[in-house]
Amino acid sequence: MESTTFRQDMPPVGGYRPLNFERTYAKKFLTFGKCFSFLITTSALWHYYCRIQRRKLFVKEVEYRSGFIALQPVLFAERDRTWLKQLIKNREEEADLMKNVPNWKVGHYYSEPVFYTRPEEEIIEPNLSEYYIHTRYRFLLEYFHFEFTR
Amino acid sequence: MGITWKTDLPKAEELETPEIPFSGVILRAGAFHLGKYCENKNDEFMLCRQELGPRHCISEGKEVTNCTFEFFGKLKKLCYEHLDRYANCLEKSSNDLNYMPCRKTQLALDKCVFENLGIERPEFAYYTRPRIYNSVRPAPETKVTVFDDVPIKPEGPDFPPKKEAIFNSRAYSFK
Repeated sequence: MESTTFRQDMPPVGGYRPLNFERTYAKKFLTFGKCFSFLITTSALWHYYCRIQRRKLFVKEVEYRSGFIALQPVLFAERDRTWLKQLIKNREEEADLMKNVPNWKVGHYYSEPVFYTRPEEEIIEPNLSEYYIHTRYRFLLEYFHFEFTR
Repeated sequence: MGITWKTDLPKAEELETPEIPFSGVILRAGAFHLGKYCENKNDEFMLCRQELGPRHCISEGKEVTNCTFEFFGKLKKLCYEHLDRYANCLEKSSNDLNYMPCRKTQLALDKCVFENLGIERPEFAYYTRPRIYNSVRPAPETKVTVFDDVPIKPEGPDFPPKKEAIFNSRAYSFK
């Protein structure tokens, strides 16, 4: 027990290092100059890309449309024929449907004509709900590419 | 409603004609050459349709359909393989039947059509430009409906004629 000697705990020689009370900031690697130059270069590249693509898109659009315009007469010819056929069918169907109604004239509201100032021989294009009146409702919806989910 | 027994509709037998049975892909594939092959008939039909309406252009429409049949019959006989390949490419390379990704097959078809039918593919934007077509059929007279009960313009000492406007028109207009 006598070999142990008393030793006082003391600070290191020269004292403790000073405490840091100042605020520490994160390292700055994205400076204003770097950001600005990055913005300029990327937007310049993007404008160059758009310049090429705009031309390409224009060519695509014009060619696509001209192909469709070339087909327009063929489609219209077929459409007109089916349209006239449907008008004939509608007229006959209406005559058949309203044959028991007194004072009903085909193409009139009872005996009142729909148009007064137009000649009677003229075909006035009926609107869609009138055109599809004697068919099922889903055929009208099909015209609008509407589909029921089952 | 609106269509009476007096309305000028054709008979159903008049409208009967063989309709085009093939799909839109084939039509799109041959569209440019078709437009050149049937150019006069197409223009005649479209002009007639614009001027007289669809009811008076049934024979022209039938001619257009017959011409389309004739053209695609020739294509089928002479360039079936090229047309088939081009249509296949159109159908499978984009979702809107775009012409851009199918240049190789298109060139082959163009060459075949030019050699056999003598039709050159029209230049870029040929169909989108307006064209002038001189038809044999005389142009219809435009009729203006004049109503009887239009109020008469008042005249006399109580209604002096208006002076000409100093600052352009009195009415609002964008001219």
